[in-house]
Amino acid sequence: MKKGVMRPGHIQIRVLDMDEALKHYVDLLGMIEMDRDAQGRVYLKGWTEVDKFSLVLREADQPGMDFVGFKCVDEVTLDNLQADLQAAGVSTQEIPAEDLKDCGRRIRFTIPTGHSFELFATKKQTGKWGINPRNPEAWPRELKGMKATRFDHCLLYGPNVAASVQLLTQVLGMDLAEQVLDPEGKQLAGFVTVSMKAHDVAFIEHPEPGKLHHASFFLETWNDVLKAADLISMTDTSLDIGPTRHGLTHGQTIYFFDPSGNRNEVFAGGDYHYPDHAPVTWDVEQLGKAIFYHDRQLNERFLTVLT
Amino acid sequence: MADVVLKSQPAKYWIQVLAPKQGFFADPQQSVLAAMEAAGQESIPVGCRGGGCGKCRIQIVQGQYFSKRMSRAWISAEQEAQGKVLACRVYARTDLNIQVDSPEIATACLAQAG
Ligand code: FES
Ligand SMILES: [Fe+2]
Repeated sequence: MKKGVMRPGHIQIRVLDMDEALKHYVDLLGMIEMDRDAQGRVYLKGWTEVDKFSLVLREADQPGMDFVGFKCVDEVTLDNLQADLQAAGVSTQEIPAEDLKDCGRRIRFTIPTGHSFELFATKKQTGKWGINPRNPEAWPRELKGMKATRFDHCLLYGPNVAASVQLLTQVLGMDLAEQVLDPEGKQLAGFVTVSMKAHDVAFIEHPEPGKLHHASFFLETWNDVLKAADLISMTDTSLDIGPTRHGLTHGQTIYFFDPSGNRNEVFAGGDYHYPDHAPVTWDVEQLGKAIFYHDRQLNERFLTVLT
Repeated sequence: MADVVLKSQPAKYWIQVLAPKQGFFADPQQSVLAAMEAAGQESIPVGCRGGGCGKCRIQIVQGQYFSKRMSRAWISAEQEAQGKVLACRVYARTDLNIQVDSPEIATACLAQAG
């Protein structure tokens, strides 16, 4: 948070069929539908999030991620970071306020891995869903499915991971929390944080730019991850792998797919990071264990199944 | 008794894979890919099961089918018109003859780790 970037604020994901997608994200994950716009986009959030939305679904004929946006502390910070990006040779585009409903202007730029990133500072705050901000109860009783608490991070695949990590750390003040290095010291994966979390966004080196590996949502406990797995079976949802633990970040996790083939994760736990922590390093020879700590080997889908 | 069971069962269609020479039954509510998995076969590669990743691409050589929307990253409009489809988004309406047609898919640069 050294330069005023606070947290992942939203991700816009393309889906092939909005009705199928909403059944998945609302009924199964337990995200809350907050609004819709004239373009047909649907705005959702996890119940603990104070901003109005964090997940935007757009129907399109090719699944994947449109962009991920990070929220900054204020509008002055936004101007400063835009100037810093331009000084670093990154061209930026200003998307006017209300292009996303109830969201202020956004500064958009493309990072070296080919993903569309945004910074913004203003979004309508509706507070945590279903509980009173004054004398709040522990949780709302009306939650569905996995009861996802928040959009937490995404894992992105593309070329030039080291350059994307460098941009986010040196220009935007984020921290490198974990990395995977090959024997020559080349960075093949970078887990980047703006908070105490082990990652707010992560990258893996891949020949094709701009790919989404997964969007991840946070659950409270390992037992919640197990129950999420039960729900995946009950609803005959496409399972990728889990429940298991990652070596990287040590989070407890399950991977599965939305009805358009976008991978989702729900997870609990995981390591923490302070700005004075040196990055945790995994050697690529230990990659199986780094990704799936119990199986200690990658499944082929982890390397190739992307949107 | 056998007769009653037969009448209450939905029509099943035979999906003939041309190479490797294999086949399986699919009911109309089940995608061709799901039917293959249920039959314990592996001729068509399985990825996301949602029409996004391209892994399960096949060519329908013969037969009628219904298909849901599939990612244009893997199936162009022309290909779709010629019966190139993603098996996870396709539902048999008659017996089908199919050919596995997996596209070239990039692999993350971690693969050398093995
Ligand atoms: S398995 Fe991914 S497109 Fe069919
Ligand atoms: Fe993750």
